[in-house]
Parts: sequence; structure tokens; C-alpha cells
Amino acid sequence: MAQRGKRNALDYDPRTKLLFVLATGIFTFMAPDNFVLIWCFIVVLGILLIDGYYRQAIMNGIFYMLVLGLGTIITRYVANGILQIVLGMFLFMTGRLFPIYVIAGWAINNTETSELITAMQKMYIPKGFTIPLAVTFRFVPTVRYEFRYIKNTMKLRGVGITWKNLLKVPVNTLEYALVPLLLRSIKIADDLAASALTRGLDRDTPRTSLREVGLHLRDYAGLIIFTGTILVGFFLYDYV
Amino acid sequence: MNKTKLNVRDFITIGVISAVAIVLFISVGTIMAITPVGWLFMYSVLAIPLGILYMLLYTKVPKKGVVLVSSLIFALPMLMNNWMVPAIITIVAIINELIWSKGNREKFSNKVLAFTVFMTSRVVASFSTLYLLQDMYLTQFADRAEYFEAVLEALAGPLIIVSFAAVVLTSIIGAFLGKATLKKHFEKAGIV
Repeated sequence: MAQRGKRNALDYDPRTKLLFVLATGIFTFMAPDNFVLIWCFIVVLGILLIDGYYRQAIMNGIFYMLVLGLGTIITRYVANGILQIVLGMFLFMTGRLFPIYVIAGWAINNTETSELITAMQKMYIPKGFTIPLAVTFRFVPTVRYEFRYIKNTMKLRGVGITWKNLLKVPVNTLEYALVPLLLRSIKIADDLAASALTRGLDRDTPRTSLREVGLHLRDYAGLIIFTGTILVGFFLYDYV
Repeated sequence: MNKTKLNVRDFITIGVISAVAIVLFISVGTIMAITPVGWLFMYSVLAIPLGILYMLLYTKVPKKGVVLVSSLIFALPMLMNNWMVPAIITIVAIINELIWSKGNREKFSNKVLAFTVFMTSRVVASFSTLYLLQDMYLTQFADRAEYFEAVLEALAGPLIIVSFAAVVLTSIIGAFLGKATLKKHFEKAGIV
């Protein structure tokens, strides 16, 4: 682990990353207007850019702008009614949730599971909670990959997840999708358990970590700059 | 190995099943929550696939603490927008855990009860949050006020009873479906 090679520019403690995600959640929830939301999203993209994820940042930025822009135009010119509510809600949810999604993805991709466990051990959270949590965070992307394979296979066999199949034979479609997914997941869980036991995760003594996990000056500075920049957006909205 | 206490293997199983549950929750929830009626019945639809998942979990790990830990992990993503939803879920989860650990954990009826309470707690949490904090929602999301007004109007009417009945009913259906699936696939594969 010590010779892991190049670290990213923003080498934060897992707790700092968690606070970033929480702060983004709180601020996008409180944002009174699209202007502030876009400001928050730009700050989030700033983190991705500083950390060297240029492609991801640009793609996400274009997607967000397209959805917000198109959505605003469509809702303005579509006649009143159910379509407007549906589109409006879709817009609303994308606008509020996409920044959280992006920063949570960044936090998960950049956190080693062992770092996360060590950081939570420092916060005196019981092991019964940290281990499932760490596994869950690590496993969500895997589930999505696995599910993509299963969806492709289902399509090949003509039992794909379509609205027609879901309405006509809901139980069968559900079974065809979930059973392989769960079987694979349980298989991976067994492998993970074996690996965890080899690493001595079941010991009662406190874990030690080769990589130093702790809150340094850069963590505090990062948090202050991050929340500060977002708050500037709120002030700009109020006074400009 | 200790038979009644959770070990690392069980913790990992809980984590993996919760990950699948969260992916399902996000994908189904995003589609359903677009319309107010869909939002009301989101958990009723979710209860059916989750029934299979949680029956597998409760059958594979019939130990003390499973209900509490799995509920808490599944409540965590909700922390991002409101503190009240996870708070209510946590309180119900503790009560649910007490019922679960007192009864015979191998019995199917106990599993159904735990799962039904778990799903219902989520509906109670999201409805009561919206109801108690309605002024905040309406001022905060002034541009989406008609959506929340539609939901609140529905909550004031008989639809709330229908919604509760639906989630209890589908949880039980989901649990039975889970039992059938376990028998058909997972027992043959030697997993439970």
C-alpha cells in the first residue's frame, strides 16, 4: 500500500470527503434557485478538476447544463398539465440530486476501504456498523456492473426488462433479474469474507494502518474553502 | 465459531445485500417519485423485490442485530436531504430489533413481521417528515410547490390509508415471494 504510486492532488481524509458529500447535500437542498444550484455544481466540478478528473468533469458539466437548459425551455413552452408536473419533477430531482451523485461518486472512487474503516474506528463507531457500511459503499458500483451483464443476457434470451414484460409477467421478470444478481452477490460476499478474514478484520484489537489517516491542515483548509465558495454563491444570489 | 453473535462474514453479507437494496431503491425510486401518486406508492412497489432480498438476508443470517444494522445502513442515504427521515427509521429499527431478537428467529412469521415493520417505517418516516415540515418544504421549493401541495392534499384524504394498506400488503406478498424464491433457487444452490 505504501508503494501505491501516484496519489491524487486532493489527498483528503475519508471523513473530509464524507463532509464534502454532506455539505453538498445540505446546500443543494437549501438552494433557493437554479443559479445557486449551478454555482454549487461548478464548485463540485472544481474539485473534480483539481483532482485531475478532467474528462468526467467536462462530461458531467455538459450533461447537467443540457438537462437544466432543455428542461427549462420545455417546461416553459409545454402546455399546463400532467406532463409539466412530470417534467418539472424530473428536472427538480436531477438538479438537486446530480451534484450529490457526482461528488459521492468521486468520494467513493478515491477512498480505500481500509482507510474508511480506520477513519471510522477513530470516530469510535462500532465495528458492527463500519464493516457493513464499507462493504456497501464498495459494492454499489459492482452491483451496477453485474446488473448490466444480467440485463444484456436477459435481452439475448428475449426476457429483457421492458415495460411490456414488467406489466405482462412481472413476477417472472423480477425472478430472472434478481436471482442471478443475488447469487452472484452472495458468491462475491463469500470471497470478500475470506479476504477479510485473511486480513484479520475479525480481531478485537484496534486496527493499524500503513497509510496515515488523520485530519491535517489540508483537510480543514479544503473544507473551509469548499463551504466558503458555496456560501459566496448564496450571498451573490441575495445581494445581486 | 459463535453461533448467535454476528461475525465478519455476516457483516459482509449485510453490506452486500444492502448495496443491492440501495441500487434498487435508487432506480425504482427515481422513476416512481416523478409523479405525486407514484411517490405515495413508491415503497409499495419496492417492497416486492426487496422482499426477496431481505428474506434471503434474514434466512442466511438469523442472528441478533441483523434487523438493526441492515435498517441503519439502508437509512443512511436518506441523511443527505433530511435529518428527520433517518431519525424516525432508527427509532422504529430499534423497536423492530427488540421484537426480532425476542421471538424465534428461525420462524417465517417473525421474518415477515420484521420486514413489514421495516418497510412501513420508511413510509411513516417520509410521510410524517413531509407533514411536520410542510411549511419548510413549501417555502424552500417554491418552484415545485404544486407537487408538494398535491402530495399533501393526497395525504389529508383517504389515500393515506390506501397507501399504508398497500405497503403492508405488498410487504407480505414480497415476503412470501421471497420464501418461494428461496425454496426454488437458493436452497438448490446450497446458499441458505
